[in-house]
Amino acid sequence: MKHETRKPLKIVGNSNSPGGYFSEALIVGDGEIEGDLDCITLKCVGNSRINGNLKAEIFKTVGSTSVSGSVTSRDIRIAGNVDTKGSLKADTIVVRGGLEVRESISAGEMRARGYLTVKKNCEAERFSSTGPLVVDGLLNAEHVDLKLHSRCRVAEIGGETISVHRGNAARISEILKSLFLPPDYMSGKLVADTIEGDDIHIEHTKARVVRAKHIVIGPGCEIELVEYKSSFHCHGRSIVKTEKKVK
Amino acid sequence: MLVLSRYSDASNNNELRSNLAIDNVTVFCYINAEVIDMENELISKKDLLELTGISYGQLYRWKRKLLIPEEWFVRKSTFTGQETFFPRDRILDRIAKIKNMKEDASLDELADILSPTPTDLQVSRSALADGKIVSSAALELYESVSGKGDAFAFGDVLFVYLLDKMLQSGNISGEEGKILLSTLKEHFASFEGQHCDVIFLRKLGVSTCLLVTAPQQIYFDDATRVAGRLSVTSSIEELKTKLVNGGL
Repeated sequence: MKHETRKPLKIVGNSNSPGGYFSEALIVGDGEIEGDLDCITLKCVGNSRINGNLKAEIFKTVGSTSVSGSVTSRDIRIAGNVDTKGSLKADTIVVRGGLEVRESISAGEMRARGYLTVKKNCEAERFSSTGPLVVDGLLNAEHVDLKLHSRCRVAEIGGETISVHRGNAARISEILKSLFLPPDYMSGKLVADTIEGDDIHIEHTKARVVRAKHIVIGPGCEIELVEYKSSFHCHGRSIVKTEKKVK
Repeated sequence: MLVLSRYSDASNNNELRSNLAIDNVTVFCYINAEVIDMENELISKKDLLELTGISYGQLYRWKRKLLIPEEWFVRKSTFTGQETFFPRDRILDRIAKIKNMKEDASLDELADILSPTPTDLQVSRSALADGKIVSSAALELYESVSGKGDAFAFGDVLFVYLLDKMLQSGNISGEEGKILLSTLKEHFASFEGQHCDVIFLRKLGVSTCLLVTAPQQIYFDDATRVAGRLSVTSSIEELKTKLVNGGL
């Protein structure tokens, strides 16, 4: 397979392909790949479905793409909606719109703006998300930066610096957004079980345990147990049931 | 006749009973697939950090870099809720290793050293022949079985290394070493990076060798002697460390 020459693949309109080994793959319109797809670049505009695993150096999609297997790539850019049944692996993942992964995500840098759902773990060196976020496993990143919109849920967060804030938007877009976004969009909240790191700054979060060296609890939090090593600061409008300084 | 058995999945069976027939000698063995030695002694995440002086950030970074395998994170319910525990001895050993080596190697290199999968390292025969990594006796025995070559892939070096360890321990003879080699050659690849142990058995003067996934408890009938048991995973680690330190 390796020595086979790569040729471009173009699907325009409504068509399908058995998949295979390509240089550039372009799907415009309604395309379906029945099998594994291995290409240098994949660009999708419109609706596409890949019934197999996807391997592409660069994967860009505008519109909606669904993959029944796993995705391995270097650079993933999503404007629209992507869902994968398998895991997602890339150096850079940029999402504007929605991404749903039924397995785990492993990335160098992950920036999500919009809906992000991960059924298992999500690992990255730098992770930032603006929008409704659901991670059913562990969110593990060196830097975690969450801007909350609507109800966010993460089972566990682990990392070095973790900051969780409520997402905001300019006044004009707020009015625009209120027309077609859920009513609680601007009052984001996070529910988590455990948040562990070195430096943690959280707002509007309900969690069972928060553990770190330095902890700043902003407004709107409800934490059962805080364990800190060096410093701890709690906002007046937050509830912390138990706080403990550990060695 | 040599029958080699491999049990990785004990689907729905707590106990697998099987017999390995070697010539006319039958060896009975029981594999307890459910009890894993991780049960032995666990350490909570909090205690671990306190004991080793590392931070959550470091722990999570090492986990991300695959320096600490996912299966060591054992979740258990406690009276405060679900907490994470680790197999005590293994995690302490691993963290000591990481702390020791991280001065000299990058985290990615460390991950490579510590992973149970063989690397794509190549070692020349002359480098191997100087006796620092494996004894010349083991090397010669290996070459008598699989022929001479100028360069060794990591997998081949590993086999020589395992053979050498078994021979050095005095538990097996040279002839038996050949059984070991042929077993490894034929079946080691099918473990695909899973942790495994190689076990050498003797019963009524007949010897055989088997590979099992680790950690696994395995029992044999009374007349069977376990001549030697080696953890392939830790041997891979040792060998990689030796190769890296030896500048290969």
